[in-house]
Amino acid sequence: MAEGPPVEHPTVDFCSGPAILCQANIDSLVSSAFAIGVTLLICFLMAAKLKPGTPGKFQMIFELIYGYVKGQVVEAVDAKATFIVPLALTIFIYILIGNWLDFLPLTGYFHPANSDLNQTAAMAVVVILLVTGYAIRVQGVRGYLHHFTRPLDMNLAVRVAYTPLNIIEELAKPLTLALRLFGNIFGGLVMLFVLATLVPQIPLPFVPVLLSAVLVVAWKLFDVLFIGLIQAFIFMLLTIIYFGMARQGAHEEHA
Amino acid sequence: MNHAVAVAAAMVAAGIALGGGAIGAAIGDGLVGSAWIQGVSRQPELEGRLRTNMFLIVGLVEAMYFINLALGFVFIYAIGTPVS
Repeated sequence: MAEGPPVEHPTVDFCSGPAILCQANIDSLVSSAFAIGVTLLICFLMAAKLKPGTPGKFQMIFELIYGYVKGQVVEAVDAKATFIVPLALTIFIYILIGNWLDFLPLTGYFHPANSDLNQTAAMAVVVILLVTGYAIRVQGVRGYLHHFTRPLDMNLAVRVAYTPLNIIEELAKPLTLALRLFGNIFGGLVMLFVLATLVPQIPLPFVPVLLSAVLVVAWKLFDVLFIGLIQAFIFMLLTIIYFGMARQGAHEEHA
Repeated sequence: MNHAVAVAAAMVAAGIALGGGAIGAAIGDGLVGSAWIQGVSRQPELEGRLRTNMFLIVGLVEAMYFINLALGFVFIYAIGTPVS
């Protein structure tokens, strides 16, 4: 627990070449592979044990989450866009398990899978590519490019002036998506490190080690359990909302 | 000597960034909470739905502060390790 947050990652080389192509963070690979394995295991076990009529406890929870996600997709995007439901659910469960890895007494290469910026950036880029592809499919290439000249009811000069802002807004989506998750999980680890190493050094009349232990437990419960859940939920919900924003303008043009 | 100055400057910068971020996050949390209480006192039957949205927005607001915290720490660490 007293080990520092993973600022520098141990790396491994897959081939000889430039570091950006051939080098990977071995600890993030191990942690995310573990999280992916647990996610697949849970979901396939769930799918194998599905039964109609009287569902078990886990099936109840899964159906609750599924119903909520499906309701959000129908409300925010479209009734026919059901391909988003498995994507959003996978993102939610994977991020949740990746965050809650911190509860397991694992050492070595294991750390919460999302405390590496590469990890969260990869997910954000995948989401934004899918959103862009969906926008082009719904509105066409012309409609998608036309979309960058919002507000559409202004005259031409205003729309040209707004174009850079719209491009920045589009670029900010994956950036904030990745940095939000990374910052929360990594910041939680920094806080844990501070509580575990710096608090015992405060000169106090009573035993500061005890205070440190209580604070570490309290912070870990709050941060990992609560913030980890909220961040997984936010990532999922923002994915759905970005898909919904990709449809903006499609209604007005066809109406 | 130069390295010590750089480390000190990085520490001060991280402190300022953390302080400003904390002020902003606290104000934002306060606004969200006050709006939630107003909404619930007007329509108590919406309490459950509004609470979900409140926690969602609290998560979004606090994310800014946590980005500050993480990136500040990364910068301190990156500057603190001497370049050979």
